[in-house]
Amino acid sequence: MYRFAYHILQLAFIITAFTALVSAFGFRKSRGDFLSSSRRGVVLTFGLLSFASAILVYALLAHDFRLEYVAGYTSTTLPPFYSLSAFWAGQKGSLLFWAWILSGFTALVIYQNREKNQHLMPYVVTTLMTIEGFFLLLMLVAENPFETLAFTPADGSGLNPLLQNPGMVMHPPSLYLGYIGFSIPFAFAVAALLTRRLDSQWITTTRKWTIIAWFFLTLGNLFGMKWAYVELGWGGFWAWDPVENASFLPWLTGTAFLHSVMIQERRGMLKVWNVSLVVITFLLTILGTFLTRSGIISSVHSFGKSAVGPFFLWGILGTAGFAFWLILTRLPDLRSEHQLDSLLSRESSFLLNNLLLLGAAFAVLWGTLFPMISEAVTGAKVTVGAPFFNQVGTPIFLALLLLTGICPLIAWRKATGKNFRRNFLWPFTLSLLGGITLWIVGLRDVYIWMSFVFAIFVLYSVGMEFWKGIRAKMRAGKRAFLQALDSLVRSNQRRYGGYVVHLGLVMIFVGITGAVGFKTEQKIQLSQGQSATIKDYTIQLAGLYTKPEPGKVRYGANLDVYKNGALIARMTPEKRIHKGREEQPHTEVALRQTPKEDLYIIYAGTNGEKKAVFDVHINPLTAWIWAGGMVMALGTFLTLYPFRKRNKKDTRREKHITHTRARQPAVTGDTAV
Amino acid sequence: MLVNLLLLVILPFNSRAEEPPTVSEVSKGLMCTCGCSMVLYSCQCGTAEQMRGAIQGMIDQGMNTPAILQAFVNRYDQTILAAPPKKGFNLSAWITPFVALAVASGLIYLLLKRWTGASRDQDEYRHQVREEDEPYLEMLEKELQTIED
Repeated sequence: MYRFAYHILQLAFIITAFTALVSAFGFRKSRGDFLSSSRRGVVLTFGLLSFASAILVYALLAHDFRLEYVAGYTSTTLPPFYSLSAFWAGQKGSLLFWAWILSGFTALVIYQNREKNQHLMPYVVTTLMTIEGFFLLLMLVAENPFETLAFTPADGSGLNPLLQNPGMVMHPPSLYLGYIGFSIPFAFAVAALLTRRLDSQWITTTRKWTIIAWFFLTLGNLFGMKWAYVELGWGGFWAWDPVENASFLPWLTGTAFLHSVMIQERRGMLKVWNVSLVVITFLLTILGTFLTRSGIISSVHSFGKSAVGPFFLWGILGTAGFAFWLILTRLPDLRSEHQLDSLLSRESSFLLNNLLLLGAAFAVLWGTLFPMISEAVTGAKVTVGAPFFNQVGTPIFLALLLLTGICPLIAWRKATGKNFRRNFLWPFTLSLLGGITLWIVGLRDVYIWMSFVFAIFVLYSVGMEFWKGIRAKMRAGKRAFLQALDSLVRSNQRRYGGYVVHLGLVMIFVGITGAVGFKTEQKIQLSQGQSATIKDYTIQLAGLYTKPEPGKVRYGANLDVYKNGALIARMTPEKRIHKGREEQPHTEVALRQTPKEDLYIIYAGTNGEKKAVFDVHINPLTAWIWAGGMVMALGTFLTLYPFRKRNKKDTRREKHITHTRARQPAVTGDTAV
Repeated sequence: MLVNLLLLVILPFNSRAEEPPTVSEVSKGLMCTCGCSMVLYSCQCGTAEQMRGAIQGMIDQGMNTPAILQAFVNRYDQTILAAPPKKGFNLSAWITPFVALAVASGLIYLLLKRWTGASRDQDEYRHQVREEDEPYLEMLEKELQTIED
């Protein structure tokens, strides 16, 4: 069966290559039959890879240890939930997972554009099938997921205990969906460049793909943070690990792209910038994969050294060379349709937003690659860890936070100084009052102070935007508050959904600031019945326990937690020794979350005096990070949900509005509702 | 802006008075040697516990943070530090992002000035055209007046 599965991959590769060639050839020679054939090729590729994936999933769930991959990542005691997640846990499986998802996305793009964009689709298909072919080639020559063992072991190695967490099921697939999702706008950009159809059509067509890809990258990063927080047992959630950075980089440039495309859609400007940005974002998604898989950077996340590294490196260089050659040769077609009317305009503020996001991305990339650069230049190795990224990144991220509040206050095209000052007055005043209050109560850390002050500024700025719109709707239609809010969001989903996303981002900033700036840590040692006090918590050891289970032994503690004399929780931190990994005990944190703070307890074992040792952390506002993520998800949903069913009339109307806005004279003053 | 950002990078260190270090603070500046690639503060392995114990011993001897970090560098090498030292070629790690931001800011500013300058030129041209049309508008007014009369 597994030899057959490998042949399926070979067949998929042949069909992918055929489809890529036939699609481009059919377009150039105006052969409709070739184009139809290429579309069928896409669907067939998806079918074949679905079949191959189903075979691997079956093998994982059935614990068929004839397969090297199954033996390496599962065991007889691994629950089915985690056996399934082994599909993307390892190098080989994740390559197949990537190829399968990409083929599905390509088929979906074909379906969505069955009656439009016929001048772009052939090259879109060629681009996507070329990427598909690359991943299939990797599996065929270097990392075959269906490689069998010479003998069948009685049991597998099992999944790393750190990966046996619900977050493990969510985190990698979310990131992959984000990475792969950005292939779609990239493919459309390449098609637009090849056909010289460089108006905003390719951006409008891929807008939802961009938002969805960005959304999954956001979710993937947040799931990873939550997973690190509850699983790694050090009380933190982001370690600036190279692979973490690699998933953060395309998120930064993707966020910049999401904003700058609005300028091209409205004003026909920044065309060169936007195609370059989507190319950079796509390259960074592949760079991230390269760093994880090549072994050139040591990381807790990396798959380890592999033969695929050189393939990825050449793939990145080749793609970069081709894409930027295309951009250079199409520069005359990428001229802006309009000029900028004023330095004080939303367009300028979006450019500043892009500058800071790209600056942050450069800082993170520079720090990630600096160890290699330093060794190449000086011969001496250095480590670039969290202290570097925190020091360099924090001022840039704070500036971004501030800008999030400033942008809504500025009109498109040309804002007058008078109106800008008027819009700025209340948010500035309130945030300044907040800052003075914080100073008075003793907050002296500059960064923490700035973070809270800017957060107040943004909250008020965005709140004011909602209030102005709701008030206008209430007066115009004599609506109640909630009806007016509903109508407001439906009338401009993109704008108000975006504001909700910004609110979620502010919550994340506040959460990170609280968790990092006001953390309390204490090591306590307790005998049975003994208690210790940390801040206003009293923690008493009720007893220790040992629980053998299939595949592992759990050593834990029952802790009674009191606050103001009342019992508020029974918490059970554990250490787990997994069979076959006795030298790597795994920590299960005990966590009690409230909006105000997290009580986070790690069981560190027993000491020479036979006392149980615990690391106790109190992390204020950490729950706001996860809540902020949910608010961002809500905001994304609001931008995407089809509140109004689109029909042909809506599409024509939207096109007319886009053209009319580009020709209108400058609008000064308040932002229009 | 570059100077302000650089100051913000330096400021967190300069704003703190000299206090006895804590194990947490020092361990944030070192890497664990167990091969996990994590900062010592974050790693929970036995090796990390031993290293933290060694740090506590140095603190008890009255050593400050720079001295403790140097002791670890002497024992291992500079890869034990969680961030590159701010000297020599390694200084470029710290300042390059801000230099790049400053250069990009300058380029964008020049681009925006050019764009807004071109836009102002277009506005002036449109104004000139209107001024030039005025005599003809007056003639048209008179002709229309004649027709109405």
